[in-house]
Amino acid sequence: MAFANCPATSLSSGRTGSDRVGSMRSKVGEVHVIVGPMFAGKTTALLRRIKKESSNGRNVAIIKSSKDTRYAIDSIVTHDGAKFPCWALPDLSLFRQTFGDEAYQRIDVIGIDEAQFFEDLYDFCCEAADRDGKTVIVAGLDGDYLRRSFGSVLDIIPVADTVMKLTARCELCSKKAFFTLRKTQETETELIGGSEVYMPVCRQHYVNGQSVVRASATLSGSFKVKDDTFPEPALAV
Amino acid sequence: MSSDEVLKAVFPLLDVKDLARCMEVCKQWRDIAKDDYFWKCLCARRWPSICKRPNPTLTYYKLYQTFYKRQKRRKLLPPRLSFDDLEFFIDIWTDDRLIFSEVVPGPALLTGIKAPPPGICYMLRSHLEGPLYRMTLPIQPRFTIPFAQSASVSVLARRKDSNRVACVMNKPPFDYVDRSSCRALAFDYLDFSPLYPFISDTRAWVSLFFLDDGSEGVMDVFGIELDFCDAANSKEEVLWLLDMLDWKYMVVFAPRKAYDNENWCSWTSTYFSGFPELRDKHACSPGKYGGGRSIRVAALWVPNSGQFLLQESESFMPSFSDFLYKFRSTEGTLDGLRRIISIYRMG
Repeated sequence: MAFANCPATSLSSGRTGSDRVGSMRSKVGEVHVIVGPMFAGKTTALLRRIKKESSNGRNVAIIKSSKDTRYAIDSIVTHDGAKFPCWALPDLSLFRQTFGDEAYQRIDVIGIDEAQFFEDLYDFCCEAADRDGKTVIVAGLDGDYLRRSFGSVLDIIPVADTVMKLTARCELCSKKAFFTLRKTQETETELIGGSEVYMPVCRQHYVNGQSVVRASATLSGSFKVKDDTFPEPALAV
Repeated sequence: MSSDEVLKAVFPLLDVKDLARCMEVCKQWRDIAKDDYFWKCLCARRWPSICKRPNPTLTYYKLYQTFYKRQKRRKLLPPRLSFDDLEFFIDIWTDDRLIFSEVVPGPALLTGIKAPPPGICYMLRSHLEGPLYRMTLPIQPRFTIPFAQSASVSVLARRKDSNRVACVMNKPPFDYVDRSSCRALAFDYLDFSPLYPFISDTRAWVSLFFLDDGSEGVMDVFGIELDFCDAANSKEEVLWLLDMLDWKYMVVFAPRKAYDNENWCSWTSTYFSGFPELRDKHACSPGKYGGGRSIRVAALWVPNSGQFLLQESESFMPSFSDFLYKFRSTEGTLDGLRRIISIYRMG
């Protein structure tokens, strides 16, 4: 309120204080986070929100990581076949210079898929939402196959407006799955793969993980249908 | 000083637990302790502002009894809908080829898969035989889907009690094929009625159960499961969830056989596409809610003949017979129906 009572000249010429407050309010950004295990539909949820924003007349852009090249890297396809072009980048800091300053200013909503692969996620979200007034919608894995924090996704929860944790279906009992289990016996630190390597499981079957791994090793593996409808990130750990 | 007077002097000094215990001593103590004055004192300590109203709706005793501790989670009320009132229209495609199309009565989903085929994997068998509530349907005759092909599913539900339709799944792909438990999964987000603005992000799931001998590269599908595990895990919860969907009166397009059989058979994927002006039209009867002019239409589109078969409904306005007369005079074509609708909307 004190702001609104300031003389107009102290703020900007030709504007009253209350006008200025209104314009500042409209420039305040938002950060929304969508997390969950593999195969929970995070990309679908991201695209639903992006589509909603787009149909409300807002300019949208989607970024995804260029590290995982198993799927088409220049577009994301929704459930109903609508294609969204997206920018495949190694770092979020490159987005503004790749996109161009003028085009960046026109964007209202930025979607980030496979967010766990971006190390500069926290800085980008703070800058885009706090300084530039963008709405940032982030989708990514919250934990690796050992249930440890993965990438910077959990770092942005303190700056997020909303956080949604999605669930998949446990491959062994069909209940809600919150975690991702590595099926194979490999011990190397980085193992990129989809559902031939990882599976979503509930808490009970995660805890009984070793017997699950042995059981599933005898069975043929599951697989994610290989189209670019849902570009699932690999679990690089 | 009589014993009653002593009690009346002491009771206002007690806290709620002690006063409640005093009520259990004997009938005399209970009758005195129930005096609303004592409970008003307790309410005044706990919610001082409520005593500023001279006549509370409840007695102060009842007020304290009702609100002094957090309510336990109540049981669900009986749902307003039953599976007998429902039928589901399930269509499955591979690429753009329709491979399964059935009208499934609600109770059939509750009957489940009585006799799973021999050779199903252990995980799937234990899932089907488990104690959890599930809605499953055996497939007869069985069909196959190559693993390399993408499949998608559409599920609509119809309420027989009001002849309204809701979309449960709008052609999401079976994009996760789980070969270790022989299931293919698809999900879609439910659209809820505007009456429930704070409910969102709830998904419907469809699973295909299949046999996989590993050599042929195809799923031999023998069953379907529909569930809402994000939000509903019992029959009552499922019915409440379905009741909250965005049920609409709509024009319905159906394949030729629906016309031949003169009943509601499976619907093609082109439903509603020809009628944007009807898509979101809710009906209201004359005089009710201000007597709007929107129209409820229940019609079968017969693709080869270019004709509609209209199902009679009282909610056409101004009257069904008037509408039908005008409709027939336009030879029952799509453009004719559109013209009449625009007349009513303008009128």
